[in-house]
Amino acid sequence: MSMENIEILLVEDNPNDEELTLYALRENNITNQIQVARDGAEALEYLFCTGAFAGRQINDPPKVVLLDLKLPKVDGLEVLERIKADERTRTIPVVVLTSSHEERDIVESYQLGVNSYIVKPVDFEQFNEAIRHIGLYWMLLNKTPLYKST
Amino acid sequence: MSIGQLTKHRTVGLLGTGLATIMQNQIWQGAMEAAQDHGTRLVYYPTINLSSIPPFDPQSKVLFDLVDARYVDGLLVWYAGIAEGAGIDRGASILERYKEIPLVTIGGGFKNYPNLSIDNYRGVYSAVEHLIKVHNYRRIAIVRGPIGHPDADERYRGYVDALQAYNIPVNPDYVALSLFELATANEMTEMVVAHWFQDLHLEIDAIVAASDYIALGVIKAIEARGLRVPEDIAVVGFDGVDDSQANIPAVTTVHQSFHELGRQGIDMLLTLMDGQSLPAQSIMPATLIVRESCGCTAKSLSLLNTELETHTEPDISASSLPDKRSVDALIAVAQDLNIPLSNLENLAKLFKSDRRSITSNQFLSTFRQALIQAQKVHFDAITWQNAISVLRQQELSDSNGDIGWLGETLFNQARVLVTEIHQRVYIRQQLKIKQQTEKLMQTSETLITSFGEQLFVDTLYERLPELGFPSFYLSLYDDSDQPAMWSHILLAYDNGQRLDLPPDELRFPTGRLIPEYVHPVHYVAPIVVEPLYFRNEQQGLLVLEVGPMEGLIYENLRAQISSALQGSRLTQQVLTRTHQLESANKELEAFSYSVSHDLRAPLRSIDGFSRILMEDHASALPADVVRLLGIIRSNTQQMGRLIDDLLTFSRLSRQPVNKQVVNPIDLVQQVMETLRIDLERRKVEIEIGELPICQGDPNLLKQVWMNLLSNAFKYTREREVAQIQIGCMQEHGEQIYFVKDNGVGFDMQYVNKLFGVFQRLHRSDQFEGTGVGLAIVQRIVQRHEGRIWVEAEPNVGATFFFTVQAGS
Repeated sequence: MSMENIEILLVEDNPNDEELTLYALRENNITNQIQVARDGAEALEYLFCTGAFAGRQINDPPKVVLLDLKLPKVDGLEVLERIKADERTRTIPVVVLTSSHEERDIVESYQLGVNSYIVKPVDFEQFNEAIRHIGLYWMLLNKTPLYKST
Repeated sequence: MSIGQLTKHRTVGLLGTGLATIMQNQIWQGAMEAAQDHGTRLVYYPTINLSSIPPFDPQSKVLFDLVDARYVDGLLVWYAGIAEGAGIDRGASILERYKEIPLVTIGGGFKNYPNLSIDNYRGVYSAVEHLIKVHNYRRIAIVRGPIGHPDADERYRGYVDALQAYNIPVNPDYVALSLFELATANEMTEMVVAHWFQDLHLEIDAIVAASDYIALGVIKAIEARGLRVPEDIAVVGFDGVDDSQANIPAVTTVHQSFHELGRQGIDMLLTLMDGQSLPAQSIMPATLIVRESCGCTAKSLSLLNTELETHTEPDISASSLPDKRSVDALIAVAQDLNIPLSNLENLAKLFKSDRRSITSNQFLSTFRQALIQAQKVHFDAITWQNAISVLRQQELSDSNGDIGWLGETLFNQARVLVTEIHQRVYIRQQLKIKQQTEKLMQTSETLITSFGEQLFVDTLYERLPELGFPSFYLSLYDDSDQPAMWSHILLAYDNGQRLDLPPDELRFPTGRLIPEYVHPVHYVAPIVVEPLYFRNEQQGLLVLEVGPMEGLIYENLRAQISSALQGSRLTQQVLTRTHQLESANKELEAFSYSVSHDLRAPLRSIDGFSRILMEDHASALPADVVRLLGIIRSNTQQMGRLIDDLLTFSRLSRQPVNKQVVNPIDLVQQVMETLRIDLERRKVEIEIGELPICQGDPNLLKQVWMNLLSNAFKYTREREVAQIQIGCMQEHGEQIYFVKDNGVGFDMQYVNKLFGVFQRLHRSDQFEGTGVGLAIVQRIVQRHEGRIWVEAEPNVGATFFFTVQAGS
């Protein structure tokens, strides 16, 4: 997979959920370039172009980050915080895609500046529907400012 | 310091009743005086409630265990403290445990122990003799004390012998029984008098009561029947307690000096401890005090108070007294007043000169000085009035029965002086009691609000010295099931000083009462041990160095400190439990978080991949496999709903309730909007009555309406026309909302299961559901301090009622 023009960063540690998400995206004809990070640290390396992704350009951000909250190493809320705390990444839309219904998580995510919070339904039809909406909205309808280098 | 040094001063124990009783208080004071004279420490162990039945509550048992042979060199036991109510056998078995300690009893003997008692026999004998000889009564009844009680038996023997000496047969109908004490005497004597008067219709001239409290009870019962004492029936008592003197009519009684009983008891005990032997029975003389209740008139009172042994002729009239008697009377009065005879003789001399000259007024001013001197220690108005009578009689006999108007006036003025001083002494005592009571109440209030151990300890340090306690020590039992084993000291206040307690030296054997290092060797000051307890729970012991003499203070303190201790313990427990609860709650939150996250993820995979199989590979799969995959999916989804509902339910317990004014109509409409899809293609009649506003959390209350209404729709599904009624009733100021349906209902015998989590009354192939909905409803209503209940009948329908606080 080319490192260029990645449009969706999926941060998901559960391979089954990853496969189902990718399946749902495909089924809904969202065929954009997708990068998968399997823990919070990897996501941060990708976004801030460090470690394995040191060769990447930071002024080429994904169109949207689909972020699970419960992640190994660095958890989702911290990833979210780091994205929104840094001027260079702040404008990247982040959609939390999680199993957690916890009011606490929802409130904290919004306080940290999440753009959308979606609870993954158990029922695959509903899950599929949710993914469809995400793709439609963030890939097609939403406009983000072009990255301005400092 | 060594034990050797400590035991240099001997310690004697006094085991008696609670200090609040006058008799015990006087015994205690007499014993303290004697112990002090001998440089011996007196430890007072008050047993608790004599009249409680069974009298040996756990408290007293602990007290008996606290008397430890290792730390007590001798023991004085007041019979009433261990055997009254429980009986002599029980008392004797308690004394068994003290066989290593030299032991003397007072006020009622046991085998094997030397005893000191008042002359119970002669006391009653002379009272009965007085009734027969002076008043010519022959029908004399007796309310005797408990059979087997040594004092009671002796007193009864005096009654029998006195009657027989005057050839009066003892009629069993005239003999009745009561306990001695105040608490029980009233009730028992009322029964006795009722039996005599109403059942037996006895003709009674006089009643001999085995104690003053019995006498007072008898008088009350007689007066309640419209009869007068002594005019219709005479009554005599025994003991000479203050109550009998204060009564109207004042009770004629046999006086026993409890003070002397305590004093001489200690003297005897110390003699025994020195290795000398004592007679099995020692007797103190009893004095008949003639007052009004026997029928004597007030005028002749003073001279009839007489030692029994003298066998006075009581009918001598005042004016014909011989000189010898008059001098004897003067000596007796001087003794009673505890003043030198010369003082009285001087008064007599001054009187003689005053009554002859109007310009001389030495008598009254000297008399007044004597009274002022006397009231500083103790003021006995009656004896002073007696003194005036004696002086007057002496003067009358000296002047052939005529002392002139000036003489009578002087005596009358002297009597007024006595009354005046007496009133002031009385008022002063009342004020003192009032102040003490106020201090006690303040202490009590402060103690009750002293939550937490430290605050409680500080309060005691501050308050007890104010109540007049020079030293006090509070310790808790290490093991409340074995109080007598080990204790640890919580606070020590020693001669005006708060002691620092070394943390590694707090423990001591309970019987020692105070740890060795806290307890200075030179100490001989008397102490009182008050065991602390709350209901059946033994807490510890309060040791007080004797300060105030009012026994009630000691008893009140015990009660207050016990409950304050309990309060402070409870507070501590609440704090600990709250902490435990908080951490349990946190664990639960963490648990439900991971349930929420981790249990749902695999379900999503099962459902998702089954779906992919069914969709993408349908052509490769036999139809049956597709059907089975469908079953897997529906179960997975059901499991997902169960988890979601369970999480909702658990969240409800923790989530704060944000109360505001809520209009239930809005909530119902929102819910109906959501449920509209379910009602398509169904005939449903919904009747919405008036729904007044209420106070609550709109989100939570919406959930209540949602669950109740969706249930109503669900369980009316099989009805041709579903009828659902929503409304509100007002009852006893409560707002009761209800949802009524004509659905399948249920049998009320299962109603208890209805609101439980995962409890269902219908099979899921009939009506789908997780069995959590009503549990959620109940939890929400309870968190609003409301109630929920249901009325139902199978195949008729169900009505759910719930209350919510009315809106303002």
